[in-house]
Amino acid sequence: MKAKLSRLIKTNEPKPTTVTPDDVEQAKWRERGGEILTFEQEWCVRLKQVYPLEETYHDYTFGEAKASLATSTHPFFQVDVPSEQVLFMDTETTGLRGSGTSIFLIGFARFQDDHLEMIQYVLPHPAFETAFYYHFLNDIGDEVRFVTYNGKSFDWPQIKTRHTFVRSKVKALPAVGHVDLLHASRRLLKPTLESVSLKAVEAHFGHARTDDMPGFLAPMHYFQYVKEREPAIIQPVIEHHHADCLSLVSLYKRLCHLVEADETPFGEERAHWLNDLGNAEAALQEYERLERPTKRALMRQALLLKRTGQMEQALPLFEQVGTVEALVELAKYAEHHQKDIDRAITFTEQALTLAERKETVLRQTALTEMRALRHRMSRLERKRS
Amino acid sequence: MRKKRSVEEMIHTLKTDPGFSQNVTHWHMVEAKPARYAPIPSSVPPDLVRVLHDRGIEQLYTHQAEAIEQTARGNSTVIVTPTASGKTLCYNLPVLSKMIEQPTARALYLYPTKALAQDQNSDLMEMVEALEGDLRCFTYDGDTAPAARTKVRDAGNIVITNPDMLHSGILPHHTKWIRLFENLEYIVVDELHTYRGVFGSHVANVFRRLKRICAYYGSHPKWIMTSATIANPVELAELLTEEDVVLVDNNGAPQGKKHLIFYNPPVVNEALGIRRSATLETKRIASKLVEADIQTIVFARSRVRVEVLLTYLQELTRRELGPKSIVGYRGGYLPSERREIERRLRNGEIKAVVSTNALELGVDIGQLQACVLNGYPGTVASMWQQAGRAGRRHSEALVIFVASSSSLDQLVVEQPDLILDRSPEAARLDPNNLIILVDHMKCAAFELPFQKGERFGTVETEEILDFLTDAHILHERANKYYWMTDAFPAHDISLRTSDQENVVIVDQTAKNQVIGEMDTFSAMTLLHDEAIYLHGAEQYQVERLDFEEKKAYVRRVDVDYYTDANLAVELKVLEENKTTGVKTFGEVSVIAMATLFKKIKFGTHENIGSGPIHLPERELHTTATWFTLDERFAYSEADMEDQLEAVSDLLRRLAPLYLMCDTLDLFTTIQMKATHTNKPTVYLYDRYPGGIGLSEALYRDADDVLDAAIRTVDDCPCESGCPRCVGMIGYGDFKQQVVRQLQALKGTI
Repeated sequence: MKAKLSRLIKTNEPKPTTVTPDDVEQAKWRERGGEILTFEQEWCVRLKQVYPLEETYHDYTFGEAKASLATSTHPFFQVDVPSEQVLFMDTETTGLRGSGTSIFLIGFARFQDDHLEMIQYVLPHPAFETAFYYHFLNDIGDEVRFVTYNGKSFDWPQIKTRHTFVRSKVKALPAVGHVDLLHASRRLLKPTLESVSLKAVEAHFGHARTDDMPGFLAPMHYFQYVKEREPAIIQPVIEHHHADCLSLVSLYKRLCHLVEADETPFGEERAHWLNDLGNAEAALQEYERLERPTKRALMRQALLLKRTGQMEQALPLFEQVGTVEALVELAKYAEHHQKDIDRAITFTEQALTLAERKETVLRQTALTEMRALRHRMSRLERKRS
Repeated sequence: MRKKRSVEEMIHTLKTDPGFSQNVTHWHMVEAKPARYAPIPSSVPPDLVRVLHDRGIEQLYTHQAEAIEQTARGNSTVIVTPTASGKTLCYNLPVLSKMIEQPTARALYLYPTKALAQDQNSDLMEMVEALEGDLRCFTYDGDTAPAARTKVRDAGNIVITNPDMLHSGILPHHTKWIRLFENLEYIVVDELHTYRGVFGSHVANVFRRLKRICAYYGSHPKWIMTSATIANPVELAELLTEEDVVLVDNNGAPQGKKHLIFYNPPVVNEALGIRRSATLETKRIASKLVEADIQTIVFARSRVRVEVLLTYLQELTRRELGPKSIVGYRGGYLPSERREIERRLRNGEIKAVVSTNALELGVDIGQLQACVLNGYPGTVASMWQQAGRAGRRHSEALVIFVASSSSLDQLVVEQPDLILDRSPEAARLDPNNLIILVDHMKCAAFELPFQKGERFGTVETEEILDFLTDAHILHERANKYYWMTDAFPAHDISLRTSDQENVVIVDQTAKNQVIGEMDTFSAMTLLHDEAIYLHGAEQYQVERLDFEEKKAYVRRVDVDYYTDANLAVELKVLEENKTTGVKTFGEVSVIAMATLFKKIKFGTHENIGSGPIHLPERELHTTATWFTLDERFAYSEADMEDQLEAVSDLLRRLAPLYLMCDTLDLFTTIQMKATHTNKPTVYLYDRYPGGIGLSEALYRDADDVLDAAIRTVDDCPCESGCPRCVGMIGYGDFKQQVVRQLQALKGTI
């Protein structure tokens, strides 16, 4: 009867508003300090936290890191944009590869005038990627530099992949540059450390994580969260990710220090790195500072000297190295610059003796080398006669 | 020693040599056919016509012209051509024409294997270079350097790859291939006839995924497919692509006169019925041809056989200096080695090549003068493909089939009309095999979320999507199904293996080396502890089968026996789908347990020992066709049992011939009193879980198989039945009894 009445007779009583599951979940996020950002029918969560520049994280204050951004002279660490456009960025994903792997948490630490802000975007459901990327891209602007750990080959390509699905509705991707700290860790620490994962590097510098969630569990937490719509489930992932981003700030500062400080155990790695980056002058300075250079360092230093027109300085180094390659360099110089064919022949003979004694698994390479040496020899002999 | 002779002279010699001719069971002639030409269609742009003229092509064969016209009209086509009839132009010309007209257009070329994709590239490259445009074509496979991949994705007008790479390397990363998928105009599928059985069923689903991705990016490509001669090219093409397809089969390529000789090696031991080794006979015949300076190809069924024959034949050229004029060719050779062999074959430097079926597929080696087949290659289509390697335009060609002692070979050599009178087999596949389908729907869901109500190809998806949701693989919200695990599904799904779990065979003789794999069902009877496993021509003994880890450790041995395992099979009918009363198609559950094995001595077939097998039972749900025999035709129960055995044996041997499948793809079992009818019944069931369409095809084509069985029994000269016809020594009117049963199954009694 009641049902029939209410159908037949419209009353002015306000209808009870229905509470949707979305409303419930959004309320939970707000309780946790999250901000709900909407786009069309979709929404995502933004979490924001602010740190004073005086705060210390893993041995360095954020202020020191900010200063490094502006002052670093090392070509790898230099950024060509104001510090507000540098994002210490990391993502959490549902898998390791493929177009079907989505990013459900993206965040970055970024310097503002007098503080560091930490911003995270949470994707409440795979259906809401448009809102997720719309707000992320709007917030970061059109030109950014990322400081990441393996972001150049993982996070950024994955963002590009997922952006493809929403590209008709959101902004184009910004112009980017990368300071990939994984690369820096590899260059400096690979000889010392078995693994150069962020966790291992942190531990190496005395900041082992104790109660952190293992990274590979992140997707499980997320799937569970999506099913149950309970933000608490994904909280450990958010904390883990938050710590990763802050750690990037500190690690950036630390690595800058390691490549720029006067006292350093990484002298040789630093020299090779500068050399590979094409900064000859700085590289030579580093080579000269080495107390006990390896043969490889001497050889590379000598070749660099030769390339920069300082052959006179290179000669004693080549002699000190004394390998086949070094002897060939000496022979070439004797022949073409010193015009001393006998001297050139002596060096080539030495090189041949050395090459013959060499035990190598790469027979093909060895044969090519021998052939080249014999060829040089016969040419020199022809020239002498 | 060597005396150059023409093929015609050679044919005369063979005919008049009693040592040869008395072993010939049949001498078949295929008459010569002149070329038929058609002008280059107007849809081919002038630039391309110029390139053709430069290569000396002024007009096309009829089938080439028609393929181009059909494609220009916007039709998807399947072109059926024999070996070496210029099929690459059938797709290269329409594709290049389109690209000249519309430079943004893209095409995807699919070859069944990585090796073939690399092989085919050179011809296309030459034409592209001659066009002097900006067209680029690239091969994309596991060997493509990471640095080159970006370029292939962004700039490749033509991307050449294989189905496996498409499945695991391209589709799951489709966002990196936007340019390709947005502009895809043509999909070229070469060697279509190889897409059958389990592999074909997988590929049909990969194509569903491909079409789904294309639709997402807004392209609707047309298909250009080529196939060897099979009975059902259009059906196959339509099953694989789910598109309407036009058949082009008016082959205009010329053909010389061809002699097809069926040769059965002579009996050397009457009492035991042992024949001279087919390999030695092959060697003898091939040597004669080589000595007469006739360019010859020898096909052998395994890699080991290739090596053995090669060793024999190279004896002939022991004193030769420089590169050998007799070479081998098989998978496992380096691409550069293969290119070199192909080149030397084309220019005639190589006199003989011994090959596996690797050269059966479309590698360009020109036409040879003679072909010797060491054993029946397994299907009629394959046999014609291999035979097609011999035959030059203006001279006669010789094809000699040397039968081995296997029952199928003997059947073929005794009754060549089984092959000659019949069109080649139909290729079977079942794109809707539930296990394969679900696997690929997972991949598809990873690539793009499914919408509620969306079809996957022609398949309704709702129930499967709900099943995957319940299994926590997908998550549904707002009528869309999202991928919800951290797995990369394509990684776990192989297009080539018939079972998801395969047993890997590890040879421990020298160092641990994987020499093969086998599905778990077969492994129970072939790879149990102490089993003698034959791989190629080598014997191995299984030292340990680790069923948990799916590994069998074997070691090479040299023994005079083989092992035969008893498989206790319990078959239950789950559902009857269609029936004629005596013939039924339906679903069955097969529970199999290997119980014990016997050691059987070669030659005498004595039982020289046995042992138990300790393995868990396996259950297989699959499709089957079963035949109910009539008890009234038997005098006694023992009689009935023999008839049942005989019918089962005949069907088991003949069915693969008609279904274009391997003898191992279809299993047979018998029940004297079937559990559901109490009647004597023969079951033939698909070995792959869920079935791949073989038993269903058998239900449909049963009359052909039964006819062949009746003929086999009738035509056999024996009186009451022998191992060759009814599979056992018969007595009295046993043959008539068996024939009566077979006729009853046909419904003619």
